[in-house]
Amino acid sequence: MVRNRLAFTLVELLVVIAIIGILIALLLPAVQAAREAARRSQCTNNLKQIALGVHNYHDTYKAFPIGGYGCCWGTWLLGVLPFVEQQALADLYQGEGYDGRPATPEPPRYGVAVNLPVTRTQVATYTCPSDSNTASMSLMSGVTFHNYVANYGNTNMLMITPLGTDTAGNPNRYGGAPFSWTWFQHGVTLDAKGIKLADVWDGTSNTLLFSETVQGKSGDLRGFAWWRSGSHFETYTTPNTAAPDVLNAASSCVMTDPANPPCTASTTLFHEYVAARSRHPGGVNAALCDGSVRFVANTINLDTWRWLGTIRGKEVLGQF
Amino acid sequence: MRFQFSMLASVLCLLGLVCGCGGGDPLGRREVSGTVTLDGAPLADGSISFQPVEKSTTSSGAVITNGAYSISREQGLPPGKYRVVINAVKPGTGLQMPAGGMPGDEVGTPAEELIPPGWNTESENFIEVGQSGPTEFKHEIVTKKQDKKEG
Repeated sequence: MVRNRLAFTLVELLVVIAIIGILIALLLPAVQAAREAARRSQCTNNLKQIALGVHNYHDTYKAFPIGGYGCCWGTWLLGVLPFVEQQALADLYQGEGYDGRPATPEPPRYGVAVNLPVTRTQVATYTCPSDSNTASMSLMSGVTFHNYVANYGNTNMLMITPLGTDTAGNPNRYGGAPFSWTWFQHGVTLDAKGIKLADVWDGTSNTLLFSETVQGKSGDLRGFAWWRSGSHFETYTTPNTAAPDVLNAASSCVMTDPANPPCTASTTLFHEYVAARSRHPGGVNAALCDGSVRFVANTINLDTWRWLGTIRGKEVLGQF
Repeated sequence: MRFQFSMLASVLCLLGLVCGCGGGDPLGRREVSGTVTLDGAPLADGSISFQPVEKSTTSSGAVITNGAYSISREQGLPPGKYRVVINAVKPGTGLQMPAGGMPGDEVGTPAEELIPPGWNTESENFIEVGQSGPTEFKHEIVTKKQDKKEG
């Protein structure tokens, strides 16, 4: 029997199409991963720009910027703006530098009309493309959320309480941090100091300067960085941990939206601390005080991560 | 038809190769869950975290809802000994956001802690996560003094 076909049968065609389909299906996750890798490298670059901006700030003012003034009178975002080519935006802001001591009249906060042209701006250098932007006019007067946070050390935002233990059961004591904030609340004062590079005794390549956060959704205030409590992180917990972040008040923590990382409200015993978090698989980007940026895995040794958070802890770091 | 069958067979082989094995976990984490009661009643809201004391090099934690919590294996605890830290806001205390307020406008005093220090800042409660075996824990917090029989 002689077969002299000039065409494919239907079954042959279907098989070919199925194979092509499978090959594309194989490729798709790789394409998505490549897209995320590109976004992550953009994110890394932003962090590098911020770290270099802080170094230029240090060249000008001989100290790092203040982490935050009171609750609402400017954070490091403002201090660094002129050094990431946003001088015009920085000039628009009014009332920076007030720390919350009673005064009449009180200088304008970040959320009042005169400052909204600044605080409604989504600054591209402060935004990581792996995350989606939360800001909308129906939420917090349209004030923007951002993705980078300053290192407040290895304990909590008050930077005073020894909290937790290391893997040998020793207490985790505060070892200094590149950033702090001025505070006047409930009759207690805390004066922020602009830390100098010379204060970084542990070495600039062994101390974190900045890391990432995620923008809270549905009213959650993580990444709400024109406001003090949205602009810092602590190395008390490892990156992207399942342990809840401790936020300033119950109204800042929205656990009904599954997009938000776990959180709880602070109490008189449990002060505010926030972990470094990102939407990248497996870890967070972190800038060190020497201006280098690296990707830190979620599985980093807890002690190493806490020691990276201190400027004068005098610890010997492991690999990270 | 033999041609199509061999084709199908090779496609199946290819699929098998691709699906392969799952990702490894360098820490050997384990899924952890448990219940938390305060004076016998489930703790409505709060948070729990575990601080490594021996062997482990990481911590983890979870939000407590209706007296229960669970941590997935990906975020769980490697085998080792951990200090248990539980905190919760005392109902009716804490900063309140006035209507139409912005963050920073909260009024009132900071929330009071509901859980006694023996379960958080001065915790002497530990759990052991083994290489195998159960990883479900019961945490029974007692604030009221136990009634002592007189005499």
